[in-house]
Amino acid sequence: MIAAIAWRNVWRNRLRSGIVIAAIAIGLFGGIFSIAFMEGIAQQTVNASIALQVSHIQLHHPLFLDDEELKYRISGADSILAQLARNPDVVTATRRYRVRAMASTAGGGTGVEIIGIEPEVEKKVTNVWQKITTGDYFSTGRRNPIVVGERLAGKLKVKVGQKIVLTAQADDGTLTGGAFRITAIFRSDNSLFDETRIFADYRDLSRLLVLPENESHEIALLLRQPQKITSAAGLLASQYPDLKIETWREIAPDLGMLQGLMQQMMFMFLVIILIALAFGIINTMLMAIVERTRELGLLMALGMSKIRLFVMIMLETIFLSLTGGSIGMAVSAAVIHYYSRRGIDLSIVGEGLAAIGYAAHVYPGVAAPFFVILTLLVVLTAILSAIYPARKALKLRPAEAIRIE
Amino acid sequence: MRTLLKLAWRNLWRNARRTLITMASIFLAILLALIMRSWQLGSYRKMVRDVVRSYSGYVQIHRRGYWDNKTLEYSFIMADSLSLLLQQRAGVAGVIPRLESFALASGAEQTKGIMVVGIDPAAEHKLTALAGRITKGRYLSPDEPEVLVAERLAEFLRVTVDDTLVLLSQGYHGISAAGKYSICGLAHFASPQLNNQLVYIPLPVCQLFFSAENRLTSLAIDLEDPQKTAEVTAALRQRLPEADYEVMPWDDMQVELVQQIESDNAGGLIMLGILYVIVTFGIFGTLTMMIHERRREFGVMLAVGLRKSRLLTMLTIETAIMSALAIVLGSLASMPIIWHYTIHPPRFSGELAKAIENFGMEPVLPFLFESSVFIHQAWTVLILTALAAAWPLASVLKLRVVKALHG
Amino acid sequence: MIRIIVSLLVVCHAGLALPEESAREIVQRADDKFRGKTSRSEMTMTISRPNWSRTVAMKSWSKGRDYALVLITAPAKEKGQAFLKRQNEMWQWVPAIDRMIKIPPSMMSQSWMGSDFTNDDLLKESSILLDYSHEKTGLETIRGYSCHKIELTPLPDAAVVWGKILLWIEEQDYLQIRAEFFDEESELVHTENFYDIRPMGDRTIPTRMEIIPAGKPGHSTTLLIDAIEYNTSIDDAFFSQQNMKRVR
Repeated sequence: MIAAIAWRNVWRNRLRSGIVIAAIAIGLFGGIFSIAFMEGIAQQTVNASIALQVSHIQLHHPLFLDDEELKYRISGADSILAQLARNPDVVTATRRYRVRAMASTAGGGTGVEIIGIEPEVEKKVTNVWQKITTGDYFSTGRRNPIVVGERLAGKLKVKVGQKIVLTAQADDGTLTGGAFRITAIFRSDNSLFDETRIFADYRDLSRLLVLPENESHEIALLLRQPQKITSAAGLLASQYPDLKIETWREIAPDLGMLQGLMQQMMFMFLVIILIALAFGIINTMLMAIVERTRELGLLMALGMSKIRLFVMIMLETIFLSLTGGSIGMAVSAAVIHYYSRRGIDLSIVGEGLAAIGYAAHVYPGVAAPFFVILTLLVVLTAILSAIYPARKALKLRPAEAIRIE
Repeated sequence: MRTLLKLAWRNLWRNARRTLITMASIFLAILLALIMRSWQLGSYRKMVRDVVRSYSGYVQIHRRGYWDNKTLEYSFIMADSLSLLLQQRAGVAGVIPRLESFALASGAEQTKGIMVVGIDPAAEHKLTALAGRITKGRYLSPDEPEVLVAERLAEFLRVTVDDTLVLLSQGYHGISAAGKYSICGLAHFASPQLNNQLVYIPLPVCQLFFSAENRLTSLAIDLEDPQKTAEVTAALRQRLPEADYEVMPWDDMQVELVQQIESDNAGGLIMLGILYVIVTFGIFGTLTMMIHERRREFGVMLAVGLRKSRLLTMLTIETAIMSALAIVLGSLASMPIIWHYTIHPPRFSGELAKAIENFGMEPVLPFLFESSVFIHQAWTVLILTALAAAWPLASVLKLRVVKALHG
Repeated sequence: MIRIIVSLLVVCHAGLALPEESAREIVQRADDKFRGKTSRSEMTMTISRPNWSRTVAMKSWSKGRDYALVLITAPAKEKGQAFLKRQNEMWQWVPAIDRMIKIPPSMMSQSWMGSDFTNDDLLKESSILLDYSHEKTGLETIRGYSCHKIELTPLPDAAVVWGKILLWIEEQDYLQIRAEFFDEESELVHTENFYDIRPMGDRTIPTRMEIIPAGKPGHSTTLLIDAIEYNTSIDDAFFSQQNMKRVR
């Protein structure tokens, strides 16, 4: 019964209700959207790094990561790869040799890391091949083909088609060198990566440095379900107790830190938004109560108990909040859904973003539970905000109230 | 006009509660905006400070051409006149000389390419708090032939305090550089790159090693007021002959940091924007309700003969007074809060804190207490209030007297 | 009748049996001449730059193309340092720090003693015969010497940075007069000139070699051979790490 009255009250004064509903909806939208936005940015950075270099999980000889010496290899890499191919959690796995070497050309010399890859399989795990600006990715036909970063090519003053002499220490300690031809030049967003990495076919590298073809320094893989990364890693660790298994968080801790930082910022931001919202609602409701002094006074004079009055006002607030909440949720969902497909072009805001690895396009996204929690929080805030004004209403004295002009 | 002013003032305080409620929404707007912006700007300042103080200093002086060609051939002589010039310049908190170059370092068996940095231990510490990064052993003394080695590097070379470190390189003019030094301490550095590569050595010992007597590769400058970087750079550029020296401010040297801050700032502005939208709405709501509530009062005034335009003016004055008061009060109220957090910044906790500390930064959220922040936000909120008030005030013009009188 | 024809044929064959030497042979003979089976020499290297110059004195021993040992005798700060090359490996002994260093790949393109030679140049001297195909492209006169001009093109898999090398080798005595090194775009990267041809030991050789890097005015490195003895007997064992420390 009170509910019905409350409901009618809400719609009786469309202006006032409209404002409160709009305030709640906007607050909710603002909160959800900014979180989705920040999440998008953090996610992009992480994904970009995973796709370029880190992958989800990497396997190494336990001593390789400290010393990076040629001899710390994964033996039986072939069979491990075959097993991983059958592993239902794994999308693709690839093997790599990693060797520190000297790259020299007539124009200069510099230290590099040669990554000996299986070109076609590597394409399925990392996306360097998509960042090629000139030339062809490992086109067959050239002997000892290599793919180098733009910055490195510039430093050594070479172009596609020209050679780089790579000198490294072979397994027996002797210095060996070989001439490799550049078949393609790539440009990633990571300048350090561009300047120090050379990709070669692992078979060519094995031949040069007398490394067994069935071994490797590193195996990297992508998971079908990246969220289940910890359990997948644990499973692999028990399957291959002699190897060191690491997730991308362990390999690139600064990425994980970025996400954490974003979340903390979000939390603080949310607190501020909720405070702003609460005040907005308290104010508007207070004003409304002040305006309805006569009406409320009349109700009290007619016999409505204080409790029922309180409940009525609270119900009005609840209805307002729910309406505002639903609208806010709907609008947020629609906008986020739209932009999560198209992406927001951030290049207007500054080209600085690309340099640090933030993608120029951000795809906002919010996990479903987050969405719901946020909505509940906003609605709760709205309801709590109504308590003070409602109590104020109770303090009205009916006789005085009626007399107000 | 004076009548309107008096009327406006009396109107405000006739119904104090209503006035205060309206002022409250503006008060809140400025309070929150100040807190948020202060926290954002504080973070950026801190980022700059952290990076600048970890190594580069706010301004650096080199021989012209050094930055593009970082070799000993581009070193310069530390002239007394230069040192005097710098000490005298106002705002310079410290002058930090360095001679650095690449070398091979080896322990008993392992050899690695590293960076050797010759420093003045006292000056260096004042800029980068190097002595505070020591994890084992002790700090350098000004001219003993000993070295301070980065942790991970020491691990790789399998050496520790009191072991001997061998350094081999090419010095000035290509003269062979070879030396053996005792390790006096190990230090931890934020970035893994530095932690794997740095060896600090006293400046005179370094100069001897590289056959580069009395030469430096860079002079880093610490400033009392980091905001004066551009000023100091310009002043130094004027005084030092351009052909011989290059003066570089930190934003020329740390391009990536600048970009990072720019992008963070972009995100921050978006967040601030969202806050503005919400508070503007709050102000709008309150003002609308206020106007609506007083429509009978307005009706009376109009009926009695007040022109609509004058009514509007009076209401605008009321709004203006409320805004001004609210903004001033809000700013004042925010000051103790911001001040408190500037001195005792909120700390992060848990895993995030550890990760940040690993990067050599304090896991705190810094605030900024500076007049520019207050002034900017005050103006912005004033403008927002004006925007929010536009529609409600304009609606007064549409009042139909008879309807208004009926309430 | 048959006898006349046969003898005519023999004479013709005899005349044709003296083939013109191939480009490769010319290069080989010049190289052998300069190198000998073994050599022992005293040299002075002067590094010149626009604003300074510096001189290093050394003694050097070599055997074939695979073994060489260089001992620095001046200036004082570097005296006693020794470099050893054994086939594909290079070592450096630094008495000041009592250390034997095996030169890692990362040091290979660093300049040797600050000169315009790199460590890699010293190591790879021998490759001029193995890693290239050689072609005669005519005769040219340089500084009064009539020279074969020979073009060297790297073999497809050869681990050498050059795109092309031009050598001028004197016709009569197989003296190297000049060499030019080009990158893959046929840009000149550096030039070597040989002067002061004099009898030294049992042969006549150029005793002053000057390296000029292209594009760097005022930069050069000059190597002077003060004394040299060829084909004295030197044991393989001479070229050892222990000997680096002992040799004077």
